[in-house]
Amino acid sequence: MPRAKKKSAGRILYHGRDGRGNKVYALWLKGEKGMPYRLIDSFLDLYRLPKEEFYMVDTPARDNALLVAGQFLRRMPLFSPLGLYLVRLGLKKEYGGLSSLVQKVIGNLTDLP
Amino acid sequence: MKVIYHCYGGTHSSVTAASIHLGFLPADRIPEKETFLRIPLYDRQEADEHGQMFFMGQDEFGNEVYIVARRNRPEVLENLMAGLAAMFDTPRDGYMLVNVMVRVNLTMMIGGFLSRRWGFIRMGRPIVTAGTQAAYFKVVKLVKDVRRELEVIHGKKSALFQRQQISPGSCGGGDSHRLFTGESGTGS
Repeated sequence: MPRAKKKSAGRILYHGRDGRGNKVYALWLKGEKGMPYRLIDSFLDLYRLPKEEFYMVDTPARDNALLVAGQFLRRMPLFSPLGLYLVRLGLKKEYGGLSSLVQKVIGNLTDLP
Repeated sequence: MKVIYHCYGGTHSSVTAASIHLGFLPADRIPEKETFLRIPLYDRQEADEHGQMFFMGQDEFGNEVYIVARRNRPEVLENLMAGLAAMFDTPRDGYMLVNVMVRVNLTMMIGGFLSRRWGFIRMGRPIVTAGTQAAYFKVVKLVKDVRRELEVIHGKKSALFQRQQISPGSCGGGDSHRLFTGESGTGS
């Protein structure tokens, strides 16, 4: 699991293709999201790219206490395994919400022409 | 090539740099305060427009010049541009990001904050304009560096650069032609 650093904000990570051949990416942003959204929109305008090619989903999951503690401990070499364990627990806690969001997104993609 | 000048608010330093690049502002002297205020986007952009790229014009080599506000998160702009370029298979060297914040002085920051962030335009605008005048030649140097780099990229050389390579000798008396044949000059 890669650690998110300040310098990596805005980095787009490719994760593979889904069953319908759509490319799936992950993007980490912190704070107000209006500016990055406008940047992406401007990029698409700049190169006259079709906006339908791009489907951005904002995950509502926020860092819970386990995730925050886990990420903090991950920075310390001695407690890194404990940090990773806490991160896993934190993710498990959010898993239900994330899973239903993904199902909704897949449903929306299926409805698209 | 798309040249994108970026700074915190996209209203002062990046607009000034883009205007110098396009020849809207002179490169050899500091313009009057009124000249800055006549530039369409100077001290105009609002916070809800940050991230939006604005087209300023096209230079003589066909490069498109844009400005953008990225607040204090240049890494977001750089990473997003690189990621999207890879995602859509657009050429990675099809754009050039130029950070103008490195040329911004404290006066510009204070004036800019007063005018844009807190809305004290009457107070902030003269301060930020004075700051822009103070930092002007630093911005000019940055733009010249960018243009030089663009010339290298395009493989084009300006007429001025070519003129500097020509031997200053009088007609028929110069020995620059000998350089091509490998002969040494008469005086050396």
